[in-house]
Amino acid sequence: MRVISVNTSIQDKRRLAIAAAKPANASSFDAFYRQEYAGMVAVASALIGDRGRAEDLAQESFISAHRHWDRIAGYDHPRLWVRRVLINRATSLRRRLGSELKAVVKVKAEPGAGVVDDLSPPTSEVWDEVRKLPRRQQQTVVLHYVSGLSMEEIGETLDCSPGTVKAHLHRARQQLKTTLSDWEEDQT
Amino acid sequence: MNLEKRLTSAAQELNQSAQRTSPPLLRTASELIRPWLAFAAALAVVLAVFGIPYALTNAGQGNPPNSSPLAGAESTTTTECLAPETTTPPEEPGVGEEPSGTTADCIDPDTTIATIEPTTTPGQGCQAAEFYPPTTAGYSDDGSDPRDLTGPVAEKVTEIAEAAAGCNANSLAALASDDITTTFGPGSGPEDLASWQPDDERFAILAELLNMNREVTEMPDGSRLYVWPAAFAYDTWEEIPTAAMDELLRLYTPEELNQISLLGSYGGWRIGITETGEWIFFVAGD
Repeated sequence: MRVISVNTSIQDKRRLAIAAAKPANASSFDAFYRQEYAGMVAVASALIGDRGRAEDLAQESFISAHRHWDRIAGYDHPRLWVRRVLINRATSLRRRLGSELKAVVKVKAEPGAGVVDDLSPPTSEVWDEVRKLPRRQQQTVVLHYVSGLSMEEIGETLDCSPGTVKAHLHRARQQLKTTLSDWEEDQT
Repeated sequence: MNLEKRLTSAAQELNQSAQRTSPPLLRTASELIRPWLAFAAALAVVLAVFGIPYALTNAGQGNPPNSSPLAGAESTTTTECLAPETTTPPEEPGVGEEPSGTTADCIDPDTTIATIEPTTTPGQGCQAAEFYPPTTAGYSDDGSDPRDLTGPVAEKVTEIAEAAAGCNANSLAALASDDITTTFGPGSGPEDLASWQPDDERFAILAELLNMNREVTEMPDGSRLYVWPAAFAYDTWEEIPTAAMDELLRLYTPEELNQISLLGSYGGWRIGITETGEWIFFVAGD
């Protein structure tokens, strides 16, 4: 179940009508795709923990954007739209795969296999801990730190108010402060 | 290293790692369709040579298929059309139930409003007249289902349903919370509701929504929020039960629902009433 925000940022029809009037073309999609691809892969990697699947998710999200580019290009923030699609797809994927995914990640996380094989152990540890957080907290942390989005932008992406985003981020930090400091102490 | 630095550094490393993967060629629709066009052209030539004479000799022997995507659409067909990749989630008890009975069926026994007593009749041009006298969909009221309406909510629902079905804009405005969201653009609030003309389609949409099944979800402060339609309570499009999805066809065409599904979750017309009976939103979404 979603936590509902009254100030949900889904645009109303008026905004869509304005958006629909803006011009869009294929070359703008190419530029958008090149510019956003790596960032999308990074977000998906942080959420899923598997580079191969992350790339698949990113590509699926871009295909979705391409299919409706005439409309999406007119939005104020196409990058938020495509991230929302990505996050929803990542959520679905994790639910769908369930324990199967956990098993895959576990196997791949064995030394030498590498889920995202070029990350240093401290960095991998951070994202492993982030993925243990409640879903909304994970998404908030990833969008804030990996995509560098503001509270308002995260709210627009996740369809909740900036206040709720702040609350999720605060709780996530509190939790990570415990788990990551434990990790640091263990390593030193 | 403090937490903030650690997270920032981890994000930086992740981004740098992702930068090393160059974007693959995303095959666009036209690129994908090109070989198929060649194949279709070849097929057309073959059909022209061999198929047309055959078709002419067999003309009139079959019935034309029903070509309308809407006409006679069964719910199973519709579901496939809406979300071809969806794996149907298990039905939630009660969600799939057809709305039945009167409002009294879903009102908390403690509430003072047990039945709807029509006090007004729909005005001229009121498109919501078909919903008068109003009924609201609900769940068995044995207290075991969280979706059962509490007293204040039941009361508010009853009043809104009656005002909507009667196209009574001033009554609606009076029932709304002072900071109700009616649009995400300028002009949101009770005054917006008060400005509706009797022939405004939003009366009918509001009445129709309240005839649909609801769900209970959570406000940021943890309190309960009743939302209509039930589909709005689900995080992702894939999670929406088939019955709740079918219900949306009362508001949208399958094509419109396909558009909405691109958002990844239901973001269309919706109503929200808090557990204390505060009506806090009625928006079109996108």
